[in-house]
Formats: sequence, structure tokens, C-alpha cells
Amino acid sequence: MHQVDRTLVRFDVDPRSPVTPSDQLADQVRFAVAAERISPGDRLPSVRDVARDVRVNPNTVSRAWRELERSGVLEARRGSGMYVAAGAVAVAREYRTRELAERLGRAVGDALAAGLVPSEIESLVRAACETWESHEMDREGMQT
Amino acid sequence: MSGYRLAVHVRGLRFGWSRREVLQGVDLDVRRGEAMALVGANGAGKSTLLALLAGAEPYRARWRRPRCTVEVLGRDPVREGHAVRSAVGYVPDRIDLPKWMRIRDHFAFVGSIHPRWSDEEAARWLDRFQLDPSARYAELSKGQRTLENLTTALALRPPLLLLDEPFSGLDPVARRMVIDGVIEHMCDGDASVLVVSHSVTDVARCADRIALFAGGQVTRVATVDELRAESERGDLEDALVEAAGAGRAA
Repeated sequence: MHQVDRTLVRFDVDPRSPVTPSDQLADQVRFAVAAERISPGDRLPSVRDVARDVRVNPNTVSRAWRELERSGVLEARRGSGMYVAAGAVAVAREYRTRELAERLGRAVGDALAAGLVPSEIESLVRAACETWESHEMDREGMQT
Repeated sequence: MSGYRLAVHVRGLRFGWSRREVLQGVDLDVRRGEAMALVGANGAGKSTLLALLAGAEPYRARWRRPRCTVEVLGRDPVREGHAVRSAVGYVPDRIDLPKWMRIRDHFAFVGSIHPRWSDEEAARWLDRFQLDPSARYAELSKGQRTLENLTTALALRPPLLLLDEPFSGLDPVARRMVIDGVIEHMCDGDASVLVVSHSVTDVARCADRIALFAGGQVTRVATVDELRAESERGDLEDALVEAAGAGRAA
């Protein structure tokens, strides 16, 4: 059980995004849990620390934490803050699949509306995956 | 100043500098620990409202019986003006201090009359805002003047902060510093904020709720998220423009 390093969850708020700031923060925690960058039992940084870091009202951060607690990703421990809950990984992964299916769905919708056929979209998706993978490999290569 | 539930509680406030009323029956509640943004067209009376709440201007003559309710931190800003003024941090939209005055002189002045003043807090914020205490007022830019004034307000650690257009005309660095000040203030537990601003992204960062102001009244109060959801693209600015149009039509 340890305090989550702030570099493991990339907290960041874009006030111009159509996604509300508290949903943006909640998503960042869910995706970090789903990717197992943070694990059950880890403690999240305090509301105030996150609020100062990303420059949002602390009430906004509290709202995100409450929503995560309600959906079983976080659990509050009296007097010591918020921890990643025991069943969080499954919950976060289910959310991730649902959320990304929706986002991809929108992109596919745009592509169809622009006149692409399904086979063209599929090859575009495959190409994008390959580009990102080689990106990741480059980054890892640079780190070692 | 601890037994209040609403930082600001206003019902039916009417006020004018002449026979023409600027405020035509304002209703507004700001909860303890909440940041509320007051948004509306220029000249609608938002600054007047803030000045009345700060106790900088009396909302009625002392000898008149009030026909409305105005409570700031549970107190009447006319009858208990001293108590209200000593617990509120007020940053007006225009700040006029003598040109020769140094920041240090201004602080010494405020410190000598204000019961909540803290030299350490003031020094901490000056440092954070990169202001030189020996700079004279004439040498400060618009942004620096705002930050200097915000420092005098934050150095009081006030339960309520009233900010009038704190972001207008500032460069991005100064704006970010003002946001830091407001966020830090909100991290102080029960602290509340009422901020007049047109700056949509800054409002989205700082505020919990938005009060729309038109025709001398608060026409609507909604959370930032509720308003954003009303616009087709989830854009707060679009939503505000639409809501302002609806308020004017009503």
C-alpha cells in the first residue's frame, strides 16, 4: 500500500473540453486503474494537491472522487483519504471498454458520413494501431 | 463569523444611484465553501451588487428600515458594516491608489486598520506573484495591480472573497496567478467566492455555479456542468450566450 506517485495518473484538465472537468479527472483515474498503473490499496493524492496541480476548484475534484467512490473504483478510509478499491480493476476495465467503444463509434460514424467504406475504415484503424505501437517502441528504446 | 450557512444571502434587493434602479429585486445565495460566478452584460449592475455586499457602499441608509434581506456571512453589511468589512476580501474592478505609494506602504496601511491582516500571508503571496514590495504603484502594470490587490485580500484569509473582473485585461501568466490565488483560497475549507467574470475558461476552472445577471436581476442559477450540458457541443460559452438570450427574451 503506497501513496500514488502523481506521475502515474496524469491529472490534467482542459476547461474547453465538452467533457466536464470532474469527469475528465474521474476518467484519468479509471484509465490508470484499468491499465494497472495504480492498484487496489494505493492511496490517491489529496483533493487539495490535485486541485492546485491542475488549477481547478477543489469541489470539482471532490465531485470526481465521490463519483468514483459511488461506482466502486475508490474507497474512503476515515481520516486518511481515498484509496483504490478492491474490485476497482474490473469496474474500471468495464468502463474503459464502454467509453472507448463510444468514442471509437463516433469516429467511425464520422468516417462513414465522410464516405469511407467499412474495409477502408478497418485498414485505417489497423494503420493507426501500428503507428502508435511503433511510437511506444521508440519511446521505450529511448528510455533504455 | 462562524454561525452562517450561506456566505451570501440576498432577497429582493433594489438599489439605484438615482431614481433609476440598477438592481431591481436581486435574489442570490452563495453557499459556504462554494465558488459562484456572476455573469451578465456590461452595465447590468454586477459591480454595484459586489460593492454593496462588500459594505463598500451602503445598500440603504442607516436610518431606513430594510425592505429586503441582505446578509453577508450572516450579517447586515450596513448595520454590521465593520464586522462584514473585516471578514470579506474585496477586489474591485478599478483600483486607484496614489502613484507614489509603494506596495509596502499600502500593506502597512491595510495592516494597521484590518484585524485579520497577516504579514506572513502577504509576504507569501507577494513572493508567489513575483511582486517587489518596494515597487511604486505607478510602476505596476494592470496585471500587477490586480495581483497586488488580490494579495491584500488573500492576506486576510477571508471567509468570503469578492472579485470584480479579476481576469480582464491580464496576460496569461498573470491570469494563471489569479487562478492559483482563487484555488488556494478555496482549498481553505469553508472559504467562499463570488466572482464577476466574462472569462469562460477561468469561470469553468474556478466556479461551482453560475448566476446569470440581466435587467438588474439574477435570472437564473445553475451549476457549470448543467449549463455546459445544455449546449449542443458541450461548450460553456455557447451555453452562456444561449442562456443570456433566453434571459433577455423573458
